[in-house]
Amino acid sequence: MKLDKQKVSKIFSILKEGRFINANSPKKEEKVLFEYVENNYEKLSEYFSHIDIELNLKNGYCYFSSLANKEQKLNVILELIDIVSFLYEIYPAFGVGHSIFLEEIFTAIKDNALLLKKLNKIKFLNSDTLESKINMLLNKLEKRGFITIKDEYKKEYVVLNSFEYLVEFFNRVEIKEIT
Amino acid sequence: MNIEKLFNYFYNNKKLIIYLFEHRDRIIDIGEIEDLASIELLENLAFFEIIEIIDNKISLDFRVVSFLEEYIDNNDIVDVAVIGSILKELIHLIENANEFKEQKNKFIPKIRRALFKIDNIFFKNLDTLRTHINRVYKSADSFKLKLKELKFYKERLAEFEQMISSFEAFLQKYTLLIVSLGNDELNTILNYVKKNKIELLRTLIPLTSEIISYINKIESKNIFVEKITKLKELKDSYELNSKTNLLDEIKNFDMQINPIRVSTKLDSEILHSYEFIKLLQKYKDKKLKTKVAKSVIVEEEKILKDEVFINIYLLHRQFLSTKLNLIEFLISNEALKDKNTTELSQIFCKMILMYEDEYKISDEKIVIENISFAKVYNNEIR
Repeated sequence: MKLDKQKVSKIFSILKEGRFINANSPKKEEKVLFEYVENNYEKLSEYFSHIDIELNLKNGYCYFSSLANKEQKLNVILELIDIVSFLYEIYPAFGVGHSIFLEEIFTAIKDNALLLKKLNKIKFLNSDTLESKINMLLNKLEKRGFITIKDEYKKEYVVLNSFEYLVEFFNRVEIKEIT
Repeated sequence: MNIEKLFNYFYNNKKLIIYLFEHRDRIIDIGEIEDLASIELLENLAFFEIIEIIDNKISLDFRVVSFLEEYIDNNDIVDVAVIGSILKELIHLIENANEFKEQKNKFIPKIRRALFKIDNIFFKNLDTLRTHINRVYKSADSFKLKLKELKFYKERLAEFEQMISSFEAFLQKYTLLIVSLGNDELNTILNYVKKNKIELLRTLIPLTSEIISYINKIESKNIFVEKITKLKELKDSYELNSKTNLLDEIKNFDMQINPIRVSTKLDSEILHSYEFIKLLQKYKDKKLKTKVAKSVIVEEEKILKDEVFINIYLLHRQFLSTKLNLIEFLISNEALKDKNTTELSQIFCKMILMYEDEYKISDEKIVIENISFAKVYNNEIR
């Protein structure tokens, strides 16, 4: 069976941006694309290998893997440590499938001076207002494909399967000395 | 008191009973409900044990409360221990019915009711357990609390399983005695509860694995939260490098950071065609022909006058240290001053092919002698 040109093209245009395709995305089209990748993984993998791109399929998500740009990656990882650890302070149950609301984060920070202090310490959030800082924080996660907007009106985001990628990565990091 | 009278009392005093039921968790003073019932009526209801009055404090009789809770499914306490005492009673009834066969009709309805009761208790408790387990897992409570709650329900589940085993043992031991009573209705009920028991065991398997997986998930999540919090602390104290193997682990961080650029203008029809893929494959697998240098005979001192070697790597390093775009850098480079635009464009293309990862190719164009060049910068500058 031949590959579906349109679907392959859509898959490529999402993944080439460094994003993930998730099975638990609220977007129907993304779900369909994931299903397509899952069902045609071998063919797609071979297809992309012709242009030296490695397609990776994990439990509920897929992505193009690349080992280049180590220095840039380190910066991304450091940013993600800031973001994820901050979100865990607000949502102890933060994880795949969890819903987060901009308004909730806003209220939590406003009511907790310690959280505000922590947020202000995050260097890459170079904005003046609290709301735009929260927006920047969520946008970073959204841009990398770990969360996606579920309800534009309520500003509700949902944590995607790809978040497991981060969990697995950080779990592999060993801390030499725990005091 | 007969059932008709009881229902009449319930119906005629429904407002009072609803009020007492809805506020059953706190102490209600008689004065609070004086609009709903007179003192005389209250005394009457207390006489028929529908309500209780102690020191001007009023409450529903515990049997009414448990009946209503049971009926409207409001009782969320998991209680299977009661099955033990029902089983004891059941055994006593079966033995009596067998020993005193002439009076067996007195015992059989009670045996039927007890069997039904056990069946109902199992299903109700299983449902309650399932609701509790899901509710606890999805709650926003702290990990510690969630874990404690889930472990508690895991124990309850084990008790539940133990009770089913006791019931199973009872059925194995007493089925023959029950059947020997020769009551068709009782036999139908016996088959019914036996079938339900198999269903119960079937439902228990996923529920048990569910709670174990919930506990594992929460424990691993807890470990992850601790890990990320610790990493954040180390990051803030600039100790990530010295106290973790993060830098080594970056090699496993294989997600794409920058967009992939596809520098081709071929029609997408062609790109997707089978022939094109075949062609790509052919060239991909093809080994590059390399020319092997012959040993140079020094005596001959053969001087290569026209073939000037261009060190692309050196050019690349020089380019990275400037803020110019690539083509302007090449034009302004002293070593390339005698190169024409076509030769420069070849060097330009070679450099992009070799160091694409380190360059940023912008959409802006620059035209030199009718050749259009994209403005290419050092990745770290813009």
